[in-house]
Amino acid sequence: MSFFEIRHLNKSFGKVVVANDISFSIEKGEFVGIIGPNGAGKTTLYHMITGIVKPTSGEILFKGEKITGLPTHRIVQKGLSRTFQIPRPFKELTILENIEVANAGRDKSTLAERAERVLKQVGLWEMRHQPAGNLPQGDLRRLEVARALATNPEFLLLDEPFAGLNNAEMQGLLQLVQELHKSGLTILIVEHKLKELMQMVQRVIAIDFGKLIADDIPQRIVKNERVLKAYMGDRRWDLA
Amino acid sequence: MLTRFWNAYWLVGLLALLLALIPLVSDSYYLLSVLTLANLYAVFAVSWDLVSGYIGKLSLGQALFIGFGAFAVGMYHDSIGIIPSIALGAIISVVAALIIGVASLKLTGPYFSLTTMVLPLIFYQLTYTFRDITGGEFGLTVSAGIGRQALFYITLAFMLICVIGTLMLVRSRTGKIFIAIREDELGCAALGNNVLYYKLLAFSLSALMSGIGGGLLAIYLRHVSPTVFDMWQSITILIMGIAGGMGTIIGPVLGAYGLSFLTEWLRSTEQFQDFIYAGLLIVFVMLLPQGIITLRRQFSALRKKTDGKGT
Repeated sequence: MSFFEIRHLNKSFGKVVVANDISFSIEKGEFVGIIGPNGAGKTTLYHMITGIVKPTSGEILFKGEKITGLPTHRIVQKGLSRTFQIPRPFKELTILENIEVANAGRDKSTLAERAERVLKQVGLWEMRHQPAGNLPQGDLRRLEVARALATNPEFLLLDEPFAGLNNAEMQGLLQLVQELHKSGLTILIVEHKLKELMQMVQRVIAIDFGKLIADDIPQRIVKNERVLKAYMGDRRWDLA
Repeated sequence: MLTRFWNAYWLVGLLALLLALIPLVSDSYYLLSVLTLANLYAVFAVSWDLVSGYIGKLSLGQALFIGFGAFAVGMYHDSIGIIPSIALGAIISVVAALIIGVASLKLTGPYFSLTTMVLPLIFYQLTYTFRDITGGEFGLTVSAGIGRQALFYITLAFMLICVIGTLMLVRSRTGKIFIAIREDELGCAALGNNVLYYKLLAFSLSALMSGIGGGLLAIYLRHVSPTVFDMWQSITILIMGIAGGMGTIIGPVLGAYGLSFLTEWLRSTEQFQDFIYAGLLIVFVMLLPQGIITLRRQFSALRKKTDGKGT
């Protein structure tokens, strides 16, 4: 039984196919990256995994249990959380309150302890009473990660967490994510910044036009013909 | 951005204290009457704010639950007694809120608001249809045997309990979840919260307060008739909430007392009353969209702007 498994997932919006017979599995403790051109279907994949969108067909299993079609909050309560590509903090609440709102399910530590632990982990503890609406981009990303962590996940899905960050912010977030993985968290990450991605992950899944075109270690993925073909002409991709 | 809640508690306490002293310093029947009604409207406005201001689902029909509460008393106070009939009204209101909520709170867009707007109208008609038990246009008489002063203190205590209770609720983690839902339902669900459950919680608490208040309203008026479901009732509460300041709890309380006095003051301008009300609403929406409660904040913001000319 795999920790996480996707079986023959399909999704179409009318005639547009965004997921075409996708299957893969992830074992506990793995750190896997997902790459693919814009519009490849990566975020839709995340939406399906987290119950925001229902697949047309196929199954998603988490810890041996079918989670396909379950409401988002139930999936999160089972230990699967995600961050969003564009951070969505609750602007009228403080950083601390943003964390307090998270539901940790069966987590035994008290609300305050959990909030402190999570905020210190991402480095936002000092400014916890600031309204979340005033934060710069780098801090918003950290807050996104903190909120997801506050739900006590066993499996964390990150959606382009490095987008729009400067070098210093990126290094900081990179370090954080690596620490999280070291502490036992299973992580799936969608990311365009390949240099950073390759430093972190043990395995990369490539998706193009909703189809899984490669599933390999980073060193081989950059030489994979299908992957290279998919990114020809897209200057944002530096696979060297 | 949020009102400091310790200020709100003091404010409510002070208000209640002042109100409690009034019968001791004034003989005016009339004043007591106005204040008793204002106490009830303060609760209606707060119950409206819980749904419209905190969850962010605009309710255009508090009158529905007020009507249920009022008619429960009107129809059953003779047979089962005053307090049981108030309790009955409360139970009916909560059950109705759960049914309506499950049906309409899951939907995005204006469907919830439209539902709240239409249902009182339907029940308005139903009271005419079933005139044998509701008294039709003549309504029902309510004789509770409660003196005016006693009723004033009862409604005052009711207001105090509801306002303080609601303030404590919105200050708690549940209240923060309400605000999170208002801002971003999906984000709130992505943090493991059952959004529908919280919406139903707010809505049924709102219905509970309005239902009990409706029962007390029937006792106050000594009469209950179809007009208790009237849309104007819902609109008045909405104006109180908006003028006072949505999403603050204490704002609608001030709005309720303020507007109650204003109504009495304007009674001499009978024909123009509706225009003045409507005009007020427009003025508020344009100049003070966040209500009176933010006046202090807005003045200090204005002062900062003119002081910082050099920056």
